[in-house]
Amino acid sequence: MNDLTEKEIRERLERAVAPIDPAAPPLDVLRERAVKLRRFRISVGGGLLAAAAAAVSVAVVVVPANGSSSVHVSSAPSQASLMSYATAHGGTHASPPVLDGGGYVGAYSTKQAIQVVRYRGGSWQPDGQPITKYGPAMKLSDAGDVVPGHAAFAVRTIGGDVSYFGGVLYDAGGTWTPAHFATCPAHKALSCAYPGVSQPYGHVADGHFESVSNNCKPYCAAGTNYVITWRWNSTKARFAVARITKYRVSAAPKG
Amino acid sequence: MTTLAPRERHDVAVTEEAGGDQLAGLYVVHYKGLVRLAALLLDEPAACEDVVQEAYVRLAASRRLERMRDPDASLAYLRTTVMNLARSALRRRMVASKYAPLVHRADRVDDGAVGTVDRADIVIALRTLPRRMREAVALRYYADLTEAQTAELMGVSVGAVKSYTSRGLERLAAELKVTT
Repeated sequence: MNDLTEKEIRERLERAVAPIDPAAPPLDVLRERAVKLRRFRISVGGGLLAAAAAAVSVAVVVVPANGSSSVHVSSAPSQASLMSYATAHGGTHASPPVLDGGGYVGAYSTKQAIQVVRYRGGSWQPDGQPITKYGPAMKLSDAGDVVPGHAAFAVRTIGGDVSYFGGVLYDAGGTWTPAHFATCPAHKALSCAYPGVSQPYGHVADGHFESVSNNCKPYCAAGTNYVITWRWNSTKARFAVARITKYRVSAAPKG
Repeated sequence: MTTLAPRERHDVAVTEEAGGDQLAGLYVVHYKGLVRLAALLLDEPAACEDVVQEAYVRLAASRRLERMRDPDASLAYLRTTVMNLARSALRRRMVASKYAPLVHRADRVDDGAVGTVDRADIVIALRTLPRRMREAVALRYYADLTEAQTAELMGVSVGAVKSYTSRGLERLAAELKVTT
């Protein structure tokens, strides 16, 4: 018996938010902010205030050695500043800055490699050697906590006969390392795990790394897709299959 | 073009009332609904209005309105921006909460109506869901988006949306102590 119907969910959500009746500020106030934002973007785009783009003030919580905590306002780098740096060094795509134990880190891709950079003293500086394992990356993003306790970037590359491949680049104790994926013996017949450091349609979802494989039987458009959820195995320092969910491509839900 | 659910349909008459100003029309019709949506996506009441106002600022700054002849496309842009800003806000809070001293819930300032929402069972249950699941449920069942629209907005497949909503409903039911 299903007492919680979709209709009931809709009604309860509607009722829950009904008391919210926000007083909207005058639209002119937002328009003024928009004009300022546009001017700021133009100045950054023209390279006149690239340095200003690098210093957007945000609140960062600092924990001193004595354990008490306090809030300080300090400078955080912007993605625009990282992109400026990347462009000047042959980069084509840049990640957003990610905060790790040592400050802000970012990554950018060139046609040959991915370079991780660290924000020190108000500018970006290379952090380790370029990583060539992935080939040219088309997108770099914050991988969140998929490798628990380590800063990590999700890497997305062009994938030949699939739209893209995805992997994870993580900070293995000071060395930026492409995360490896274990094969999944129980599902060898599905070729669900590709050897190496990236997986078809690999992406971060719901705090986990997911990939999608198709068994192409009888042919790919009518085959079965397998959504594989990967979990980090800290002992073996690699991703292992946590869960596989399958659905037939031909029976894919219609919007 | 995807068809919008009634709640999300842009009211052309209001736009005309607003002197043909598309931004003003979007503001009049959708501001409240977007704040309500943000209240379901975020767990920080004070941030809801900030997020929605920032979305309007970005829309106005991007000059998209000049290119977008279709008001529905502008609304889709607003919803996407609200969701992305909500995600960023949650991420920032996660980092901050690792270091900042805990603030007891009872010590927090009551944020009026949005604070009332915080105490609704369904919202409390919704906030126990993982982020993607919560987004899928809020977009499907509050914003009344289709699975395809939700998938496009979240940047995932339609199959993933089905999975998120299905699992989300199961977990909501469990949280609300309802037999499924």
